[in-house]
Amino acid sequence: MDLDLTKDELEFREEVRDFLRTSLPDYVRDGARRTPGVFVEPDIGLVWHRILNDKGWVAYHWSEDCGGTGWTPMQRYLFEKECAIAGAPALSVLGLRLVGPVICAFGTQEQKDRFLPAIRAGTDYWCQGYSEPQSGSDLASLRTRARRDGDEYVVDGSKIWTTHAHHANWIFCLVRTDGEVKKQAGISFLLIPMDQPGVTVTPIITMAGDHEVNQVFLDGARTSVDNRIGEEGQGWTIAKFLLENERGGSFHAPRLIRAIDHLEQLAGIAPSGHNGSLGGDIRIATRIARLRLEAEALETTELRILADMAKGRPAGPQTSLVKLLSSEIHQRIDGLAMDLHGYDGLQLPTGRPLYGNEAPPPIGDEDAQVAAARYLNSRAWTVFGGSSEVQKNIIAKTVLRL
Amino acid sequence: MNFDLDEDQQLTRDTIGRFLGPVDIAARHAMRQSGGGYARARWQEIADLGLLALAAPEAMGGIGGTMVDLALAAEALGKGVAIDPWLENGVLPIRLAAAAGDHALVADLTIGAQFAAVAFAEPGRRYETEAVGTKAEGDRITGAKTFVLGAPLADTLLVTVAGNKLAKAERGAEGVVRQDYPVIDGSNAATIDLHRTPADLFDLPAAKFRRVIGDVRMLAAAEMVGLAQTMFDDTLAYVGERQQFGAAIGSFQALQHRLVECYAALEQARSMMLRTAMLDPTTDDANWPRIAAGAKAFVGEAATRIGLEAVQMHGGMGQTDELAIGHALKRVMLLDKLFGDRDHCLRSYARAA
Repeated sequence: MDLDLTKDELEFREEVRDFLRTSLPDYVRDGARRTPGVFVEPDIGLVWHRILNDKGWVAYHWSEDCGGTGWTPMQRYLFEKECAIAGAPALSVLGLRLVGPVICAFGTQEQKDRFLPAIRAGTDYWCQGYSEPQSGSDLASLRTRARRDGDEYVVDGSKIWTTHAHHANWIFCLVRTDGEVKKQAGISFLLIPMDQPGVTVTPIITMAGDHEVNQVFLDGARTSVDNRIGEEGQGWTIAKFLLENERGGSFHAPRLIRAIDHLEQLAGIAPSGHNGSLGGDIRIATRIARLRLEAEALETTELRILADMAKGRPAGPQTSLVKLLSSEIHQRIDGLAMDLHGYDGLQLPTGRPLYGNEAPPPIGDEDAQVAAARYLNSRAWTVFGGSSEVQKNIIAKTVLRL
Repeated sequence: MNFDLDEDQQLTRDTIGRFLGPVDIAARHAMRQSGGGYARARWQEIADLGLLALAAPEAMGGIGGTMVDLALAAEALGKGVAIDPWLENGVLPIRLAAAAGDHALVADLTIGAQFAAVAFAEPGRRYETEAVGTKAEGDRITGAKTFVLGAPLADTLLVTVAGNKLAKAERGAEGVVRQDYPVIDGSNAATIDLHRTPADLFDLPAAKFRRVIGDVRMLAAAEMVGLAQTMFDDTLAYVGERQQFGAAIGSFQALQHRLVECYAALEQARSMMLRTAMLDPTTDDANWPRIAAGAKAFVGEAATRIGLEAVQMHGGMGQTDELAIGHALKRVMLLDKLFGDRDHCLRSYARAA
């Protein structure tokens, strides 16, 4: 047992570092740092997406036959870790990590040819139609209906908490195609174009004042039968495949550890108000230390899962454990960041974006400007992609067999 | 011993409740987006209700409410998730002006004729309250202040100055450079740079200033009790209504136990608020800021926890800016740090023990 990297892995890491040094634009890094939302906007994210695509690395968790890099789990981990250290923005997961692998695994050749290249190129921008106003944690109770009309489906219903629906030109949806069978068995997975009269997007503003999510109304929205992934009634199986990717598709610890490094630097320069820096304050120092231990343990938990994946064992419910832990560490980091900024951490600017020439001037340290907004938006970590309560239910049932 | 509200206290609470009514999110957003994030016309109503006079001493034309009277008012304002800066632009400047002996200002503030903002925080000094970087030279003051709540709407600035002084300056006075910015509860604050700004200077002995800080901490705790009550009530109602998996989510034991913990924290917070307010008359001025700091730290922890649970149990809806719980949580986050965060306040409480 050891934590050593092989010679090939070390060389790969060097290659990634070189690439990041030369190819990650400063304004993209700055935009990511000054984004208080959970997701970066396309004006930052798509720039980085396209740079990665030009390099051939954007679909780094897809298999080669779908146009991915075919990297080993360790290569994916090293890549994500170096991206985190370099301060690269996290890419939108919706196309690359959610619907892409679904199309890759369940789609026909025609569907793969139509959709996968446009996801890689960043010319299609996707959003996710899962939750509904009355179906959140109880996803299988969803009510959006699709009925056949010749070669098309006609869809009626509403989806909510739809991240970046206002930027997207496609939505992948779970819809009910059969109301007579057991609720999971009546669900299908449809791809629906957004640019049509039957689709309306209404913004939902977060507590922090950010516009990331929306409600999407589908009133007679139409899509070709060719845009159904898998068979009618297979939607729930696909949905679970996708959710496991959403929860476990990436490594959280590298970004968390980088954020903690950042907090430690900040504490080192932030004034305590009486003498010395906040970093010299034992209560602050031990809070940072405690968080660091938590994130380091998580990194090793993630590596243990990775080792299983490398041996071909499915990650399965372990992804729920990582989702549960990483969400809470995220929130604690953002809470500590706010505390470090004192009164300056209470500013909550109303304009967006907070990068570029139009951004309002920060009060105090630059990072203080995003601290409160980030803390508030960070509440979503324990809700989206299956709330912490849902993750605990999954772990209790499938791991502990309670 | 008696925990009953007297007639006047009952009346004040009912008056505040009627004035605030149910939380109107649309009206709230509209007021926050208007200039300065608040309206002087509404402030006049607060004055007309006597809520400002309650905080002013009788000798200066006020009602001279007891700490219990004030705490109950603050709690009622919290319960209604008031948009009004009663504490930071009402109680704080009135009591500072009173402590400095500026009777005319107390009178003006009490009737709403003037609106004052207090510049006590200095950049790089975190929660320390002793003014160091702001200095007086004759009748002119120079220095930098930050987190001046309500400054964009203020006619009058009350500025703490090195050497235990309080300066009163006009908003548009020479040498005042103000940078306004929104803060977490949606209100507006400012950084203020002062360069040889003409001001009236008053003596503000450290003990008197600390006494006022104690009052504000006590009342911040009381407002947080009200805010926590509303966040709790709304959440309790929501888990009874929200159906998932064929049942109200409040029927799940995992949520029930957490709600019971919130309830326990809320009752403890209310006890701490009442206890501290009732101890005021028998506590000397040196010890008062300390016990008020302890109460604020204790209540702040409870209110924050209840707020975060409220947001979590409301799921996606809890993330939006459309519910009273979110607005209440944001106000709690401001009060929790006003005149010191929990660490700072617990230290004050421990150090003097």
